[in-house]
Amino acid sequence: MKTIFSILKSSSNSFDGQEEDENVILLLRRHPFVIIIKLLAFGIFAILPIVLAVVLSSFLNTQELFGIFVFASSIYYLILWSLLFYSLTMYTLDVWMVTNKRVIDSTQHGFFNRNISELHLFRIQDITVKIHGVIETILKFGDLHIQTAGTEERFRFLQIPKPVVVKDEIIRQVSNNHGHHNSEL
Amino acid sequence: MDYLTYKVIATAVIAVTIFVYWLFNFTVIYHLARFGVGTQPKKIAFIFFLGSIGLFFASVFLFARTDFNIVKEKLVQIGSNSFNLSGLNQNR
Repeated sequence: MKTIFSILKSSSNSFDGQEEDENVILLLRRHPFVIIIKLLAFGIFAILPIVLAVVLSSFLNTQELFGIFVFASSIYYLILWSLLFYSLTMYTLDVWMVTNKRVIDSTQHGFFNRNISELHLFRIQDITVKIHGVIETILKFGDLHIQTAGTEERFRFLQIPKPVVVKDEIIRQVSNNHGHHNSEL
Repeated sequence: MDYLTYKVIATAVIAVTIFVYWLFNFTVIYHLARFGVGTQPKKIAFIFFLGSIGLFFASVFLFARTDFNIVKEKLVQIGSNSFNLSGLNQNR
């Protein structure tokens, strides 16, 4: 029983296709602000039956429909709960990882639509940080674009917290990786 | 077609709905546990599982307590009021 619950407390951040001597340096998700906005929307929907119950209480009581209303509300909350966690699942499964060997972009677009791409550190040419607007500036989150060869598509980390710090860490890993490659040669 | 009563149809609809609901929940939990990296997805899956069970049994309990005959009566009442044209004929 103790081992079952240990997965909730600690993790080695292992992932599919991880190499033996590969360590996860950074595990990034979108900034919490992105999901908090959605949670607020769900919160508004959650208080809707309570507001309705207050407004329609006299009507529901006189018509003896209060029991039906409570049952309908329970079904509503059941659906809302599932939709809330569907959103949380999509948020949680959009991850970007920086390891000591490569950068991995894993994005989830619905249950059965998943994109995973990777980029070896030695192929990184330049990194761009983009912070748009007031909210991103205040809360310190934004996009990070990694450029490889000229015509190839950029690698994008979207709405990640502290993109400048992440950029510095990737550059540090790239230089470490170059040093390692040179010593091997 | 006697065997295909409203009760049988309602039971089948409820059974399919419950199956779809738990299939959806299973898919959410499976994705979080299988593809999630770190502890956060596992925690979310655990909270979701507990909440789903709680809400599901609350709904079942409320379903068992609810008298659906009232709804039936109200619907019949609304239907008879809407299509009762005798009052109109008397006014003419």
